[in-house]
Amino acid sequence: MTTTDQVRRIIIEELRLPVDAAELTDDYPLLERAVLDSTSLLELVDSLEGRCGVVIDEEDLVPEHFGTIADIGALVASKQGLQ
Amino acid sequence: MQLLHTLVQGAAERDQDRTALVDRDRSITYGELETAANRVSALLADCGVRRGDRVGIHLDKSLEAVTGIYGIMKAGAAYVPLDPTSPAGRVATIAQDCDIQVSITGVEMAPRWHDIVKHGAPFRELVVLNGHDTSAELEQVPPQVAVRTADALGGFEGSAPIETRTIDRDLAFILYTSGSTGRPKGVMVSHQNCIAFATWAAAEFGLGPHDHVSQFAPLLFDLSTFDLYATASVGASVHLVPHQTAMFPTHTRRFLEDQAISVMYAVPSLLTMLIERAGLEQGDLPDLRTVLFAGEVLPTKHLARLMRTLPHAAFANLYGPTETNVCTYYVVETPPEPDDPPVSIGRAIANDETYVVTDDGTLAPPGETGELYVRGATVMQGYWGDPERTAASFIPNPFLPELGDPVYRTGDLVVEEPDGNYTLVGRRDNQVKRRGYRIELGEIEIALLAHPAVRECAVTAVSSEGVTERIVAHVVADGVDGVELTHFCLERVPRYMLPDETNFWPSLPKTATGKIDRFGLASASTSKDHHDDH
Repeated sequence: MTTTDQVRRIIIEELRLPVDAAELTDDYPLLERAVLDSTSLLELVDSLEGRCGVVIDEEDLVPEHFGTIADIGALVASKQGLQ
Repeated sequence: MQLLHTLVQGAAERDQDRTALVDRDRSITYGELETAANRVSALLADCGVRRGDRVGIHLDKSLEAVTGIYGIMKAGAAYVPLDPTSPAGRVATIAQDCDIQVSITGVEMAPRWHDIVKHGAPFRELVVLNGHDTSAELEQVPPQVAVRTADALGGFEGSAPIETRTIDRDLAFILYTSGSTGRPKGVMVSHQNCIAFATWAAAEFGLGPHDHVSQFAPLLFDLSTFDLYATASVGASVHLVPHQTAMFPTHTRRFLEDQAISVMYAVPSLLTMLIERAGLEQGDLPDLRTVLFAGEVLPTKHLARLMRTLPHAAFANLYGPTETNVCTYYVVETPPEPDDPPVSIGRAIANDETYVVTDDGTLAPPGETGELYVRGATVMQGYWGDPERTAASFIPNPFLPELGDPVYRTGDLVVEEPDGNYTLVGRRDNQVKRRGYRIELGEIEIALLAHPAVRECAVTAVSSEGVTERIVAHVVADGVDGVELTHFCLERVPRYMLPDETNFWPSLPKTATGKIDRFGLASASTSKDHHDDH
């Protein structure tokens, strides 16, 4: 499973997002369509840290890394690469 | 006599060049705000808005939204915030409930106009305050609804304030909150109610014209009344926090730094995010001198860390349901220990009086649990168009019946501590707080039960270690999954009410008396050993 798929799975399993799983493509605009809000964003960060074994620093917690599933996948992959 | 909009007029008379509002890279002075609000009020009067009417405010937080609010009050009407993120059906229910015929709106709401009208909103005219007559979005206005834009304001250049004969007992706004019967209820707030709170808060926290006050809360949330009106009462500046800024901790921090915010009022979940994820170090945010929080319990460990990190700032916990705005407060003098119990809600603010009442209707002695009752200047007028619900919550004063003013039953259970401060111990009913929003679990249950496949359901709240309480739906249903139910709910309740988790059961556990065993369900969801929807 790619990191992006793993992120999608976490999003579908852990968050109650107002969007169909089928619509959640790699480039679905999560922030632009306000699918992620402040609470679900922090829940997501907790889940990513717990399930992907990465630490997301405060400077990573910016819109550029959370715009799409692909963006989040790239962030997680870069963190995993560091370990 | 003061009215909320005369606060702006007063600030403009004192110093018209002082900054009133900052919205990203735009700002306006008190003089400009006064002039712009006068023009909006003249336009609304021309649309037929009269004293006592209700006018919707349905757009993202912006200079236009705030100007619109003051324009509505200057026209003698009450403003009703219509949540830009709520489902169209819920917005229409509110518009119908208080008969909103004219609404201020923004081009960003255009995709929603048609649906809201289709769901029965009685709109006669929309005023698109951030749009122009050439804006493409106007094509989305339903044909039976008239529309005007900011271009029409030009016709009211130099308008003097219109004469409305508004008195301070008149309604300034109506805030809709979750209702246990599935219908939101409209809390009626007069100018007098809100001024009582705003002037108390400005004096208590020493607001002055040089303060920079952040504005985090949505306008439908009573926290926004501190930001707007306590600030206007002293001619300080309000700094609107963009939605996405508040989502990202380091952006929030940068906003507070860049705008040199000196006073902030926020829900605990935002403060938690700030202390946990913004990389704050001791002595950061040197301009921030006062941090106020309300809406739910701020976990003590986060408060302790925040106070140690920002030793130059004063912290206070404000308490009160929308019906009383803020009615008690507690200034936190020293950082608590991380495992101390939640911080007190303190004691009554000036001009409010509180009682702790036992189940048999007598005053509870200190140390004994009772329901908190409130009377006084900030206690609101009741629920719009709902004398029954008003009579149930606003009762004659059982202790001083001669006075004739009502007492509001908060439904919150408190204990008076030996030092005279109150500790919040729970609720009488199924209401929960989530990110500061108050939610009647019954409203979610009614939304779920509307789904044809749902035979039985109960919604419980589970406190979590995380940012806020988790809402868990327990459902007996065939041929439907959690995702479909989430979508179904989303058409009926706001986003913040969506269950975090849906558990499917063959049948719901019952108590000996045959009622749904909510306590059992709640503990089942904490252990999380049930088959859920994934």
